[in-house]
Amino acid sequence: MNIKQIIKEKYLEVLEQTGNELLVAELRDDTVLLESGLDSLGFAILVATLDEVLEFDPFTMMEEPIYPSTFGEFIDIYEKMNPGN
Amino acid sequence: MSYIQKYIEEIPESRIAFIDKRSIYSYAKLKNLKLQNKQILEILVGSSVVINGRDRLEFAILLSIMDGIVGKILFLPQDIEKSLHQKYYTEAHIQYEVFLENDMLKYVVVDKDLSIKNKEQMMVSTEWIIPTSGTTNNPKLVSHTFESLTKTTKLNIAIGELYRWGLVFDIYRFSGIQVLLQSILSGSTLIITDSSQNISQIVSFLVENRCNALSATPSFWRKVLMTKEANDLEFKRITLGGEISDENILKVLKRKYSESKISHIYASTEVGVGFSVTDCMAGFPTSYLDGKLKDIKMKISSDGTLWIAPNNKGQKYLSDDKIYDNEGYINTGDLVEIKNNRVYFLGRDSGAINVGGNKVQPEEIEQVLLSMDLISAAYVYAINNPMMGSLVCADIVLTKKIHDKKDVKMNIIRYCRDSLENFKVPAIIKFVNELQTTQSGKLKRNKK
Repeated sequence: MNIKQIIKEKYLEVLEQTGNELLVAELRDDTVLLESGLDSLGFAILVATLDEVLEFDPFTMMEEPIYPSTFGEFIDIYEKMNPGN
Repeated sequence: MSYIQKYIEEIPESRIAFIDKRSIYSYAKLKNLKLQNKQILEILVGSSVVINGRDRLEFAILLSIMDGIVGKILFLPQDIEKSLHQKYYTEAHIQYEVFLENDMLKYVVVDKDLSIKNKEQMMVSTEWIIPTSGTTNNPKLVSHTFESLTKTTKLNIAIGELYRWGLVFDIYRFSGIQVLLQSILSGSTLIITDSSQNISQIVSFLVENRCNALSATPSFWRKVLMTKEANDLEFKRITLGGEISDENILKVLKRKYSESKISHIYASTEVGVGFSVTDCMAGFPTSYLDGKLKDIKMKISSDGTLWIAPNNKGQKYLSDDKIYDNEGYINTGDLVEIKNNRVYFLGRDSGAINVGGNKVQPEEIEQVLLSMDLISAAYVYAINNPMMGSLVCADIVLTKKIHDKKDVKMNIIRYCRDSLENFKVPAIIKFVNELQTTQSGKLKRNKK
């Protein structure tokens, strides 16, 4: 599974875990994160969950963190900061 | 003696005091409201009143017209458990509950037997009674005076015209009251956001109303930065408080809003405003400990907690509990460490976890977990998180071996969701074989 697939899978898991529902038809690159169903707490949980699975947290690795608005930007950050690359 | 109306008298009437999604109040209107309600206010002179869960704008107006007239005002936020109301009413000797109906002040009698009134004195120094954001126990009531609340508020009516403060904190709590006072005493405009709206709507509302000064928790700021609308904000003043401000969030804000002054403040309901830090670095310089500050003194106790002695000791607990030690210091309960001439915050000495400004006591969650049959031991602690500061993590020992861990995890989370608020539900669950205990058999809690 590539990073994008893992993120999608974990996203849906956290959505269920936090008792939220997907508010858009599907997760696309231009989906606005905070309007997709996951609230800011859920989003924080997603970052922590991904840290467990991928063993890195791009937001703490970045010199100056960028806060993503869209799902595409979010994935981009993970792909760019992946130490395995 | 000072009170809000005294300041309002000086402010040009055409300026706008409050804006919320439904209405706009000028300073002239605020002055008039007091005249309009003169008769009712006369009845309330010197009495103890409660503002119970009314909306933010109504609270701001009630406080503005009653300060200096009533003896005590108890601030009762909506999230305070109903079962505590009577206890608080008794502690504060509450006589009336007050509210507005079409700009007319109304009251209902809470306790008709209480007749401790001071009718002779027309203007009094009103006690403001504010509940703490209690973690270990029920919130305590702390009584402040106008002086203890405004000692560090910088007031300048000419400059005040330039500021449009956004209110995103709860106005019933210490942090929200600070924003209200900062705005109203300088004749600035307060843009009151609606907490039921989502972050994009809140930021849009701030943009629409040209908000240029905002005080919020680091977690709130991170949310703001995730919105597209954040690009349309232009700040003169940015304040962070209520949580530990880390280097990263300060750096990002500095880059994005380079025109703005940025400060993080240390404040609590008990201490009042402690101090602010303006160098855009986390923590504060050790020179603050050497008596450099005008309004407070600080010391670090041998167990690493920060103690603060305010010069003006206007605040006290309403109950008989002592707020100060013998030397006049208040225990903040915040653990600190010194590194390279700087004092850094580590977290709460009670082990309380701060999830985006909401405080969580690990023991409460452990109790809920342990009430499940399938769990034999549980240890709840904080993990650092770049978005919320901290998240709740639980190490769990199960009573029997299981195969589908994902399914069990979901069951546990669902169970917790039924009895705990969202931010208290463990974000990460780890299954372990045993928990570490101390020699006395107590759960080993690792303090950072």
